[in-house]
Amino acid sequence: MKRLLVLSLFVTLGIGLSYSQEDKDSSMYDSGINQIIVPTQIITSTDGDTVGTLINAEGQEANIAYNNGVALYGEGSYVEAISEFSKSLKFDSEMAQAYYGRGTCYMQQSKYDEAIADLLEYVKRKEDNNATYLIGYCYFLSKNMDKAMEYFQNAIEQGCTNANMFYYIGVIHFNKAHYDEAEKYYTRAIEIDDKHSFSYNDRGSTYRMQEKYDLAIADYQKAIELNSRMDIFKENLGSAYRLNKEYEKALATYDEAIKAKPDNYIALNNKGITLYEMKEYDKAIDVLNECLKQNKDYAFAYNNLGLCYYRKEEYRLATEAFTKAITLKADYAEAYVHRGSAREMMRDMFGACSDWRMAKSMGITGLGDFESNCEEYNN
Amino acid sequence: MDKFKLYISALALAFIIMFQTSYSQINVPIDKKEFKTSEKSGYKEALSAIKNGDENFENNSSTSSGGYQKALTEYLAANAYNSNNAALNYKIGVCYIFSTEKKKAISFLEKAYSINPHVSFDIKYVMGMAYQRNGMYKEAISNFTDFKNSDYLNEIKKLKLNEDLFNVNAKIKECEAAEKLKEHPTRVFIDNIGPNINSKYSDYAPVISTDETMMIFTSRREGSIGGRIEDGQYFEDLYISYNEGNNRWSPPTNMKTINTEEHDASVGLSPDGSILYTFNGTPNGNLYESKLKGENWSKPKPLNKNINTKYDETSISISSDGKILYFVSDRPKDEFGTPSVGGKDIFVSERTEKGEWGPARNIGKPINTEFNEEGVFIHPDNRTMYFSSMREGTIGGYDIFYSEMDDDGNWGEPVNIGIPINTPEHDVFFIVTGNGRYAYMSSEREGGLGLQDIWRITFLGPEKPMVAGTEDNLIASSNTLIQTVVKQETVEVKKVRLTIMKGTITDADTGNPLESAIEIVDLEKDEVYATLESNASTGKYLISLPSGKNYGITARTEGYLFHSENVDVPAATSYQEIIKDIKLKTINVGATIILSNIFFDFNKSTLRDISKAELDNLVRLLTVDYPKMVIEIGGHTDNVGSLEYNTKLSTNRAKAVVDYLIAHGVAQERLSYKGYAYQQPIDTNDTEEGRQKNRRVEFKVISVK
Repeated sequence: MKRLLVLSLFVTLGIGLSYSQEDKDSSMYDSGINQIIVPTQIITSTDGDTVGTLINAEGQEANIAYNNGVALYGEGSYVEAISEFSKSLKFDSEMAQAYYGRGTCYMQQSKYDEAIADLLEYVKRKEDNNATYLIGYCYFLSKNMDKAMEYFQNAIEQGCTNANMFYYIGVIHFNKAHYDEAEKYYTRAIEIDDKHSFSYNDRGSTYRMQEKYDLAIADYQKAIELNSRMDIFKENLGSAYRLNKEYEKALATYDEAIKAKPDNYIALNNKGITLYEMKEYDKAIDVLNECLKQNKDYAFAYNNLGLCYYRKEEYRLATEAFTKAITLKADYAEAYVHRGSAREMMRDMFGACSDWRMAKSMGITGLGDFESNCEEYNN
Repeated sequence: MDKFKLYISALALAFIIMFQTSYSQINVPIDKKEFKTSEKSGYKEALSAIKNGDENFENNSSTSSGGYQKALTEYLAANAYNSNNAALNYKIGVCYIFSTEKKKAISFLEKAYSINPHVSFDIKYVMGMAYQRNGMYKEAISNFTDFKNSDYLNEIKKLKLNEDLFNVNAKIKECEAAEKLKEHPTRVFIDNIGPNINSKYSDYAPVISTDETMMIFTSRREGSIGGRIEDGQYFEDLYISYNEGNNRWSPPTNMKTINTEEHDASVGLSPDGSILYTFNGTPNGNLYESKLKGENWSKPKPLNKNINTKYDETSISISSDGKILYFVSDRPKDEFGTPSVGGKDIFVSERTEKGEWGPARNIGKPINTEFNEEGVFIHPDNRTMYFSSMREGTIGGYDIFYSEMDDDGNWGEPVNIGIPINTPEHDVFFIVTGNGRYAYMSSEREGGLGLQDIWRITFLGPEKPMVAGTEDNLIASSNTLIQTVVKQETVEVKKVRLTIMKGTITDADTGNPLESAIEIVDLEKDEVYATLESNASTGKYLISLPSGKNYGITARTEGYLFHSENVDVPAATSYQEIIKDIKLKTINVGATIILSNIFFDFNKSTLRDISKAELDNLVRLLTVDYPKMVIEIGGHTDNVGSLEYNTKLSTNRAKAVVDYLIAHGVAQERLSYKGYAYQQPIDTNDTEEGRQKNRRVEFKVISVK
């Protein structure tokens, strides 16, 4: 018997978040937080015979092309999949699923305009809050946050309860420094999916930005518990400990991150800062030099090295380090302030005043009334 | 043999900057057998050196560390024969504590302790002192604590020593206070002002003029008047030096008109540098003043009985307007019967209408404490007082504190000026320049030229924000590193709100300097703010003026027409110097003077009240100085408006001045007036500034007779 089977196939689409670190990608899939469950009706026959009487010949061609597209999508052959979905639409321009399939392929290729156009065609034909969320997500990826928020809100109104979506809304608020709002949405994501490690991490970051370090530490710890392979969770936990002045714990946490990834220059730099704040300047210098071995162009590490030398009253070395930082990052206003201070201590008031003026012109405030002293020097 | 001495308890001022805080010298015998050498002569030399060393070691007076220095030389000679004698190392260590090479004390004392931990029962106390004086406060606390926990009280009893000399709890407190202050050191450069001023002898107690052009200090260098020597140094004399620019000081000159064969010490200077205050400790401490007339300083005269008493009066400082005197005394109560707070206190006296110093009042708490206060200095802003105190919270000996007066005239809680200005030694005499950027003090520090030296302190102000560069992946789903912005505490920068006006008064024709009386009038209050005189030999004058006021300045000297100026000092200004040179015109027919402090209502000829002081100057000129002089008052305007209108306005204004003079006793026939409108401008009428200058009232001498 020829049967037409309409299967509800759940195609898992990995959302193309902008990762470069491999472990981030894999962890996302492992944790399942980044999976979008897209219900798609696939039409096929069980015995390979022609499709039943419900569809005509063109419809059958459309279904075959569509199924080919789904298969190719599953293999990650997006270009070919797009071709098949397009063929399907040529046979049946009203086939909503084909728009959806092609849109998700475009999304995987970071062709967000095309993806949005197809997904919009899909939702015209079929109400699907998850697709509305995906449109918002494409806007999010194309950095059009207003539009992203508009579609996320639409999705919420349509009843979408996707934890990822709430997470991304949290990210948008975080980036606008609306930490209370961000915290609210990250919490909603966690309520929906209590294993959403990214939401724990990011909510920890909102607490950190609000100087609620105890809460931040608790969230970062939970994120690590859920996903121990994410180095950044450890880095963030280390920094929260440092900001909470729990320096020994901070050092231990950074060490874990560095042990897992010895070239982790971010963790090395932050460890160096921790030692600097502990007034362990010699140790800090060693760690910062290690950081610079891993990333010789890291201006922050040179700046921090300069601070260590400054505190050791080795002003010439401090000046050299700040100069390196400025060379690598010409807009590094703070490094100008620091170099000015080191030059002041070397009694190079001309150089000091010049640096402070530069920093001031770059928007640094809180330098006090240095000009009157500089004028006196000039006189 | 005087084994145990108390150093510096109640200091006579001249000796205030000496070296020791309390230390009870222990006679630790050196086992001479340990110095036996194969050569008989060497043994003899070692014994001789030890003997001489011991004599000097035990012969320190309360006013000098000279004995230690001599002892040190001898002990080091003996040490060459045996460097492993615990007692000798102990004594060398003690000598180094009271030397300019304090760092060396530590190694000798540590060695003494390692050879024999019982070399002296106070070894831990002395080690604590050595560490304290080298700024190693944690180590000092550890040693003092060991001493505290030892059986030292029994030893003191056995040796019949004064227990008060081992105030170990106070020492620990000092070190703890220092540790706290060390966390936030005061950002300063401390520079030795160099060999032009400092010598290998003690140089100290500097006083400077507000504008830092002149310094007077005390020195025990060779060449003192009388040439007498005490404790290896010459008797104190005063020296004067001038700033030649770029902080180069001229070689100092002995102030021969002031110095005597006794000790002579500088303790204060009026802000304009024209009155020097000195200290004489015989028979008890009293304060004297000497005035600069031309190039000569007058013989010091004692201040009146409201200031000097049978008790010790030591340091002194005068407010910038010359109306308030602060000084230090150990009198038990003030002239109003209020008992002193304790020890030496700071007192205040105000100048009476007769120009005398009035009854002294104890300035009270929070400045004064049950401990000694010393070395008072009132900044020319008249709101910041610097002084030294032995109160709780010092890091050893006297520390320098400052207090600020609030708008109601109350002194705020004194603040320790901090490390590195304060040291575990006595820190006394802290003089701050008018602009608040520099200070001078004397102390014995590393890098000195010998004993006490004079140092210049440059205040660097609060440290600029130091921000570590840090960033994290705060958002898990993004690669964007987010820089952590650390909030910086806003540091309030203290600004000195003070105007120094200075200049030279000269003859307008010859350019010769003139001694002239100068009167500064607060025009809004219509009261004299200050009177002063320019120097007869240089014509120079200097006055500190509070900001935010409008002043009328009048210079007057015999044979010359008075000169008036108007100076507006905006409230918002911080420190500034105004140079106002004044040329006085001789009284000749035809000479004209602008009356700068006569003001009228806008577009009217009604004299404003603030013109009174200037008009009274004119009345005095015409009624007292030159009762027959005939003058013309001329009114002038800018060119805004018609000639007719301005002629009328200028005429009416000139007439208003004449009417005032007539009303105040000047005969009408000696006065005439004329309105010149804008026909005799003295500046452009194209700018507001020029127009303002053109709007004026002048008087012209018609005849003198």
